[in-house]
Amino acid sequence: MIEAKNLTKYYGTTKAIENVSFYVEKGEIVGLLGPNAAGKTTIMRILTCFLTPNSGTAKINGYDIFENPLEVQKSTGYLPEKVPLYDEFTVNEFLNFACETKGIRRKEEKKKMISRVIEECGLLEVQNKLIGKLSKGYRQRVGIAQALLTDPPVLILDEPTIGLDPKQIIETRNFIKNLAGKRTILLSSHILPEVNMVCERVIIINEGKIVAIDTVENLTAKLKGGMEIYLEIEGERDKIKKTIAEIPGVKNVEILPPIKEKINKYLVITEKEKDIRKEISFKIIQNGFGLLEMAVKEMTLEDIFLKLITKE
Amino acid sequence: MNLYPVFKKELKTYFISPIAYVVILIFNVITGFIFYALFAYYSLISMRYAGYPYPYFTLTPEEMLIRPLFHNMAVTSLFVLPLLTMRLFSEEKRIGTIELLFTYPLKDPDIYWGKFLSCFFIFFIMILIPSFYIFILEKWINYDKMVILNSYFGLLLLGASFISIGIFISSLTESQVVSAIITFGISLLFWIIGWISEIVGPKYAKFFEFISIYTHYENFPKGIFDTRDLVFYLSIILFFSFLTLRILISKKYRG
Repeated sequence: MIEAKNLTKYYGTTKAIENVSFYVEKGEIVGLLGPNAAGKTTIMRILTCFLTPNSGTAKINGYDIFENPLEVQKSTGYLPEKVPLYDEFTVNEFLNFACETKGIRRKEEKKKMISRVIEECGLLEVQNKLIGKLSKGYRQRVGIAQALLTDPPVLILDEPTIGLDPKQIIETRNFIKNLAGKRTILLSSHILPEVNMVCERVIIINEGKIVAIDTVENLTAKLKGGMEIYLEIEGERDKIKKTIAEIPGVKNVEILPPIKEKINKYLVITEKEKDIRKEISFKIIQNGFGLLEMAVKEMTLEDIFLKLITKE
Repeated sequence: MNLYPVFKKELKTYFISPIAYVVILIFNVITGFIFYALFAYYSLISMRYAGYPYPYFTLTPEEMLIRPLFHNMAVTSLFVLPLLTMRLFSEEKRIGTIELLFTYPLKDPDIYWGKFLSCFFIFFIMILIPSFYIFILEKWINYDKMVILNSYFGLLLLGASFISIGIFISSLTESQVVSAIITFGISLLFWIIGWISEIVGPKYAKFFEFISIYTHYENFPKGIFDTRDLVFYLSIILFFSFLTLRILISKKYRG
């Protein structure tokens, strides 16, 4: 559905993105993840024909961005990052304008489309209000509404949850999730849990280059060094440390601050992919210490991300 | 061509923000005042020369009323048109809606001509209002109606040229004020550039006379329709439209 081939873009002499290629299947939700100024917006602007790449090309819904930009734009709904909207228009007027630009002229058809997105995006109460008077959350919804208007097969959302309050963020995420299936969605974010929650696959970019493209699970598996196990044990700390360190497969044992008299927390790092929780618990109990808690720390997207972008 | 949506949107914006009302009002207050002054002077002079034995040749309504009126309407347009064009691209760039507009399935020329025509339409309404009192005059004074139509045609061409210059400047800057000032400066320069034709000598005089917007306008209120003037104005409009479209494309490449 979305196909980028060796996209390179310079702003003057600074390179914004370099050799970016990826593919998004029909019906997939893919997250474009990267720190600020990594080139996420540039990629999205190229895909929506707002910018022209210096080299490389892209195809959306089978149409090339150079040969058929109008068709590309017709099959794409785009939410720009800062959600620029015409503040002096009411929601209805604005959606009407957006409809017309997308080539819908017939009155009944326009009405149908507008009332559909107004309902879908929960804009019923504000449809006759000026956009300039709306709260940030509603603005965002209007932005999403105009992208959804003609029910385009591809949605490109640039940081759709930025600047919203936590409740709105959850709503927007669920909303995007509900859009999946029918539509292909490419969304960008620098908030990692969000991408983790919403997207099936992630494209991680840093300094204009793609660092990794994969599902979150695969990335975790690939980058996982060893297992990290948290323990809370009652007993004499030096003895415990020694006991655990002697277990085969343990790479490192650390006593986590704050260090107390009797009950302490420990972090055990095992050798690659070895699950030795059973051995540890057995050894601790055998030695007469009190095992209060044991937990495995999952690798979060943050860890993956930091690992990837600091690798080189 | 799909310029209707942008045309409609710009018209709406002109009337939502009171700029269209303000500009039309100011223009018509000034033009109305000038018309009154010219008319009063004309009737005074006519009275004075009524008993004069030799005919006073320039004492015709075309010469005393219509020519100076259209001259003044052109000057007033020169002042107010930058206020209409300054917004067109600058504001979209400043608030970022340009990204929305240019990612809708519209061609660049659709967007450009939509904006151009909406501004031209406001200008048209603005200069149309004085025609009411010009035509009411017919009750008392005999004059050549073709002169008025010809003058209107010239004024529309002149306005369209100023608008194309204004939109071009507006596409270069994010600041409306800067856009208005530069547009006014360039339009004024085009207006007065003919003045030096007498100083630079016969070799270049023709050139300066020819690129002056005003020299080409002068003929219309006289009742002369010269295709050279028409070609000149169309060239100006197309040249600046071409430049603007180039700017819009280059933005995509430069980012």
